[in-house]
Amino acid sequence: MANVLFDGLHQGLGQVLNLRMAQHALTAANLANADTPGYKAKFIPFDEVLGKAVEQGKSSNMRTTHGRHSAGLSANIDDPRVTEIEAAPWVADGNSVDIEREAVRLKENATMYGGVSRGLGKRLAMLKFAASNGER
Amino acid sequence: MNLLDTLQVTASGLTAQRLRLQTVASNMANARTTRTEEGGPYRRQVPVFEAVRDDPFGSDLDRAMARVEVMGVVETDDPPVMVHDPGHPDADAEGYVAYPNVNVLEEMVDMMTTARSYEANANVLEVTDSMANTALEIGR
Amino acid sequence: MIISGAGVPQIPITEVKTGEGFGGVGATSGAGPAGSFADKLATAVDGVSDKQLAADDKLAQLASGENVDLHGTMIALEEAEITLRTMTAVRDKVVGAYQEIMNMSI
Repeated sequence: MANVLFDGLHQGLGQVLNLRMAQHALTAANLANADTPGYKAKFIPFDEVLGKAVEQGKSSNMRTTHGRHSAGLSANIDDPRVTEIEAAPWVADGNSVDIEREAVRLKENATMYGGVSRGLGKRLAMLKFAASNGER
Repeated sequence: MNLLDTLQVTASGLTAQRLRLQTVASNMANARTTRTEEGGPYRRQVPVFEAVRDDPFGSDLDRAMARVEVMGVVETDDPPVMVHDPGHPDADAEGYVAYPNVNVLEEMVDMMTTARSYEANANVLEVTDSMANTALEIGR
Repeated sequence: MIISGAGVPQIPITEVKTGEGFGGVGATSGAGPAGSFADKLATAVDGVSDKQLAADDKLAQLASGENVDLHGTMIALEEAEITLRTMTAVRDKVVGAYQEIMNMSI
């Protein structure tokens, strides 16, 4: 029953939210260590991690009962790759945190988190509407 | 890793920067102090930051997460600034006074970067809060 | 999307066309096969499903960062919800009308 109600896209969206939350924690760590000598800024390469997620989701979650099928999202990403940024050679203390870059990443990530979570919420609201037989 | 861990990390950053500002304040206030309990002029203090990993054996992500901790405040070894001022009570035999190795301009720059780093961490705190609120609105 | 399976009533469209079930309503009104009520209903159900799929597509692309179209995604989701609600409202009306007719004392 649960699988009928909550499809691959639903699960994929949840995992993307996990990833975004992880990226947020990384940004927090980067900014906390903005002045720690030798600290390397870290981030999740979303382009790489999610680049093929939609296509993979489509092939693995295809619903054979229906000609058309929902866009799946295969985000099997419990242990995503974390990329480190090397410090520029002229940086004396070897710290590669760039506050401006991190500020942008922080906002971008929060926006994406908000967008995906709103979308997920909307889908759930529609399900709820359908499940409660069109009431409210 | 969850939102609360993120808050801990941000808190560590804020604490570290506040401590750094305290050393800057101390350095600025004592820029001309020629007497200390240990004898000799005041010496410039700098905090030592270290990235501390809570879970060094976890996943890639857990290992990447690091708080910042102030491991201590050390006094720098730069030589004091010698100024010829024979009338000064702390002048040596040749009339030179040893002033602290504090460069006020340098401290000002340090103060500004500290403020900016502190602001950045405070910003993260706000965004964490808004993300938590967004999460609570799912299915509302 | 699953909504089409979970929430929208599973009206066997092909059977409707043969004149059973809801088709009775359309058939008695004497409309031709092209503009029959059953066809309209089928189109409406398909429309709901299409809107859901379009919204899903948009959302998947947003989540994967393939195409970050925030407002487009939200509009698609709203459209999907509105069509779903409209469809449900129409269904309720139709069922109400059907029951009224069935309860009519002749």
